[in-house]
Amino acid sequence: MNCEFYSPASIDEAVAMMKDGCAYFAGGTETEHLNSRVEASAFILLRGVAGLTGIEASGEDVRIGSMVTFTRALKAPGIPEYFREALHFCGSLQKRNMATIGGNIASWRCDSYLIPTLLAAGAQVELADETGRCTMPLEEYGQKRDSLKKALITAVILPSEASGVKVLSKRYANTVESHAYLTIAMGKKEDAFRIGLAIKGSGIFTPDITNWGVSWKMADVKDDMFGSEAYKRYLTGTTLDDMYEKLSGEGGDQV
Amino acid sequence: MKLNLTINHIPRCYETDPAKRLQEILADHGYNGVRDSDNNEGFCGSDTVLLNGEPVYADLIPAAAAQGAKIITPDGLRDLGILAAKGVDLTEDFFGEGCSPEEGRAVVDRALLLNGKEAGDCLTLVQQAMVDAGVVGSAYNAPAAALLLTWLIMNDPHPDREAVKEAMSGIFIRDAGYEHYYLAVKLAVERMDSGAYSTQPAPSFRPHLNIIGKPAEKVDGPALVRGDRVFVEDYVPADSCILKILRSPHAHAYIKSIDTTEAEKVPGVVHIITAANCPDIYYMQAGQGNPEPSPHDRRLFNWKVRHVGDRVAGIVAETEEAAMEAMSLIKVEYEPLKAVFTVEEAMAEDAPRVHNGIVEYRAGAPADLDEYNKDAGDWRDGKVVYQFPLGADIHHNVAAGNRGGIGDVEKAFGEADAVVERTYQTSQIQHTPLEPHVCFARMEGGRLAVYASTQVPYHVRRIVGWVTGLPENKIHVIKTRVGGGYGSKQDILVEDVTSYAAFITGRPVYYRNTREEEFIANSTRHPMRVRVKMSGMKDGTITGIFMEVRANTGPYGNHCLTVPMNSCSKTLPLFKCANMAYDLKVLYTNSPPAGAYQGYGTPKGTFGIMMCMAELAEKLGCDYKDMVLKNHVETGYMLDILKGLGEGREGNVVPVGSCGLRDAVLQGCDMIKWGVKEVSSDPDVKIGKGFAMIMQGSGLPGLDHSEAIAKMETDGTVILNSGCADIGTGLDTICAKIVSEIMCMPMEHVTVLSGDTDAAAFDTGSYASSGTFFSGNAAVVASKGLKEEVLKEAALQLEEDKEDLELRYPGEVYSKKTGKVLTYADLSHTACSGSGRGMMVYHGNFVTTASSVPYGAHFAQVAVNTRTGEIKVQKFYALQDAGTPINPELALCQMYGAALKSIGHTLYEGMILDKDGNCINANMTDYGVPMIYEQPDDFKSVLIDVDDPDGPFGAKSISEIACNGAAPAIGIAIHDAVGVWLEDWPMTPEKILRKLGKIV
Repeated sequence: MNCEFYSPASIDEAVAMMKDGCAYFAGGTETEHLNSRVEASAFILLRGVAGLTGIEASGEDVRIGSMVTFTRALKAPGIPEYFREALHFCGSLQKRNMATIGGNIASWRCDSYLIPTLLAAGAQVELADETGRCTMPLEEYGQKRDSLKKALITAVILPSEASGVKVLSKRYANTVESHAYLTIAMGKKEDAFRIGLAIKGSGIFTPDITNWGVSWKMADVKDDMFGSEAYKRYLTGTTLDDMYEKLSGEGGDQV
Repeated sequence: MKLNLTINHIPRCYETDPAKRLQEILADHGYNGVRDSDNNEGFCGSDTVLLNGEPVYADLIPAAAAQGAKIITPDGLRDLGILAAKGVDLTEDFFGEGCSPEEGRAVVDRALLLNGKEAGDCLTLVQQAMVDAGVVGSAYNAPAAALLLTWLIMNDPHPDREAVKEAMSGIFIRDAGYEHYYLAVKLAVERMDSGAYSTQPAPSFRPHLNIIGKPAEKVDGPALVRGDRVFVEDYVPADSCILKILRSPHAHAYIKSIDTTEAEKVPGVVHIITAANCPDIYYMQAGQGNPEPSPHDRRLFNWKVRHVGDRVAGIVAETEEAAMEAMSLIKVEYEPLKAVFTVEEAMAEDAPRVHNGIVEYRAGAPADLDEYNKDAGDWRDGKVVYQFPLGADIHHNVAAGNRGGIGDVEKAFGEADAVVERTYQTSQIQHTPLEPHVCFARMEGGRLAVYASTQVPYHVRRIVGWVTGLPENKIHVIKTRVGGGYGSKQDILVEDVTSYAAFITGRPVYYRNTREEEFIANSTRHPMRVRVKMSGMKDGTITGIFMEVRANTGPYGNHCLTVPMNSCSKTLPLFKCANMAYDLKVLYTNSPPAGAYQGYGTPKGTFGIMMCMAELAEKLGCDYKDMVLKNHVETGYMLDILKGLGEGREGNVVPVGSCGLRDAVLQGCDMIKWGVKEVSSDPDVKIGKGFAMIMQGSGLPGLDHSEAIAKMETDGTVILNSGCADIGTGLDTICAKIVSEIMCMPMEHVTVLSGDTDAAAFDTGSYASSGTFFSGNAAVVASKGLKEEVLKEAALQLEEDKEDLELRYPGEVYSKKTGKVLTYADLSHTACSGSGRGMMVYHGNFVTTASSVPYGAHFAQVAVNTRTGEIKVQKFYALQDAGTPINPELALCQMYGAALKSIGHTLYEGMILDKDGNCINANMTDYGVPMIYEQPDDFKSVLIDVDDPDGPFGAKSISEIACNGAAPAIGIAIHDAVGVWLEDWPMTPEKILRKLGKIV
């Protein structure tokens, strides 16, 4: 790697430094990783930026700063149990000490530890760029990522258990340390269900529960080293069935 | 940038590129406990450091992101322990500024407690506990593990099992497994709390012996766990040249032309080796006895590439950057050829020939060889030289073959009450040693010195001699500590080209495989197809067994006969059966190379034969356990089947010797409650049990050869120059214990120097489970000889009869007649004085036709989710007859390590090739290996006590056999759980679901 590193002290400084060819540097587990997809001529180090490491639980929301590491989130009070479970999908202590919540979201990997769970929970992200700051649903962030490449994720807001949300997540991988080939999450709040789905090699999906069958048939699922298309489709359907049954407290195969 | 760090309590400032990785910076500045196993994959954990009090991967941190950090490195623990003992407050170093718990300093001081030895040899609390627990094997990651566990007990002085699991979750241990890491923490906590251990690290055996069979500190344990400079990479001077290999993008192609002109102009490039300028010498890379049962089918560089990753050019340059730039400028024109990747493709009519050159034989050439060679192809195919006939036919891609048997299997099948015939398939497995293949070579005073991480120093010397043309007296091979081998370092995969590069350039040359190269250009477990046909009677008697083995050796024939032979020679002799036959073929293909792997072909053969037996039992309506007990061999049973199962020669027909097989089966059945059906609270989850009989060998009788030279130094201590190659298993410790036991002296007065071809005499090396049996017996012979020399010299000095003298602890000669005592120190001093008769030395040599076969049984209990196909190994019990376990704590860890490795092979490990022969999972994360979370919740290793008449103090081999049981035990357990037979490994959830009809 032949590049420069900038060390801003504030969010405003960080977003002002973001130019073409730059990338934010959070925990490093993605950026520095073998065969990393992150290419940049300069990195903006976020570790010294004020305002990115807070964890605030208030009422029905929990706001977690983007530079909070998995380990810190796991140790913090008020973190919903469904999110702790997702944080533990990252099996390595060293990685959990380095990886950040914001970095994992920004990477938007199709084997992401957190994104399916956050999507199913209806999480929101706070963003900052040179035009200002905004909050948007994580699902929308995912859809607009191409136009948000220069945006800095400053925090994620997820519903607390007090909000009544229930989220189930399941990760399928050969070993704990292997990449997940399928991560499935379903959330329920009042009578509304949400699905977050990450399929290795295919992408991240948020199929609507009401027309699940149609949208699922249209998804591009491939045979690969992790298993056949048929296997992954079967597993997804079965797992969602089970989750729906548990969340709705009803039998049947409505999903 | 100027990088300011506090490393191990000392402020440091380095001028560095801000993007340079912290691991490289630390390693460059002498913190050699911060290693790299995965090329910044964030997987293996060899690069673990504490950064501001938290364990992180230093390989994933650029310098710029580490500015101002407080860092603790694994190799710094001992020095920090010394500082703490001197009263230095290290709280902030371990917890970071402002993060210290209330009792911070006391916690740090307790966790860094030293063991009371001098600074040069002392260990901290956890380091000592790890050595005592037996987990310091090949130990490439042991220092990092010690750091993690030290951090753990500082943060949680009484950690439970879950906390240990969390602490070890980001570190890969391939040799010892994880079970005794829990023990190490327990021992450390006990000593921290009460000043002593209350738990015994392992059981003791042979009460009449002083040190054999008792836990004792592994002789190289302290250096390994501290992170001392013990591996090849630690011997490489900064000014060494780097060797990089340009590798083939094609699975099968002729090289039409290769142009290195532009590459050679790159400043810093010293030399480029290609097929055009390398020696025209055919050899093979298998480290086996000479003449080898493997064809000499390659040169250093060939005009035909035979797999993706095959060598095309070797670039020697002063820097890695220059080598990589030169590599990009080499112009190669290929003529691609059709490739074959499976044994079926290789056996097909009109299959392309992987080798199509001239065939030669050094002995036993067939009469029609000239006619055969008329059909040879392009000159670029080179030639294939057999040392003696191996049943080969390269025109049909057959590298080796054999068939034979006893009795009449067809008749047995015809008369049986039931016959089962199934074909089993196994995947291509990578050894994944934490230390990749590595070599450093340089000319020293007109001789070639080769620093090698090898299991076979003398075979390295011989093959390097062939390649360079140097006689053996001009080559000095120094086996360093070996950071994991598992068979892959039985092959001379990098020493050949590195040594040649140093010889031809006169420059010191360093070579190290990347992790990807470990997968694509190294050595792997042969993919194999094993067809088993077995017949039996309603009373459970097995009447006939036939095994057909088709092994995929890849492009070269390393161990091509031996590995598949083991599929039969280490399985059929488990059975009292009068009718047995086998048919083996080993096929050349264009898949990545295969070679030796712990267990050789036995795990595959055991998988097939035990699965088939379990299915036959079901078909006959017999209980599987009853069938096992009815048909297994016992001491004295004559093994006629071995006659045809030698390695290219007639095998030794011997009776079964000591045998703990029945005890292992019965004890294991009790432990797992065989016959009791377990029921899960989840209705989708079904639980099943299975087990498998296993056996291996203890070296190769009639082929292996070991020597050791025992000499008494002038102060009465002893140095044993052993030809053995300790690859982390504790072989040096075994030899030291043997000397200590026979010479009646403390172990610390014995030093074993091994693996150095200048210092010791010949030994075939550590493979085929030979170490304990052969090298151990050589140590016995040398020690007994030295004992005689000591008694003779003492008789002269004391002017008494030798028969009246005996050796006595702690190293003295005692006269039973006069009561006189002569210490070894006085004895040796006089012997080496101006009027003395010379140093007492004995050169021991051990060869044998005797065979000490280890036996055992491995048991599994699995839970299978019938909706998702997920398989969880809930229990795994490994019971083995290892004879006298000379190092019991190390023996148990080897069993845990090998069994866990095999659980990985059974359930998820396997290299996957695309249609062009590219390995698409050539990294640790995608390949997948068992880490601590994959270990069964209930995991036990049990040593069955058997005293063998031929092993040193009754010992047999331990670790290879432990690779053999997992696949059939788990496969049989899966059937018990859900009623399906899985005939190929890895046994994935998808395969379960397909067998259950859930997906089609």
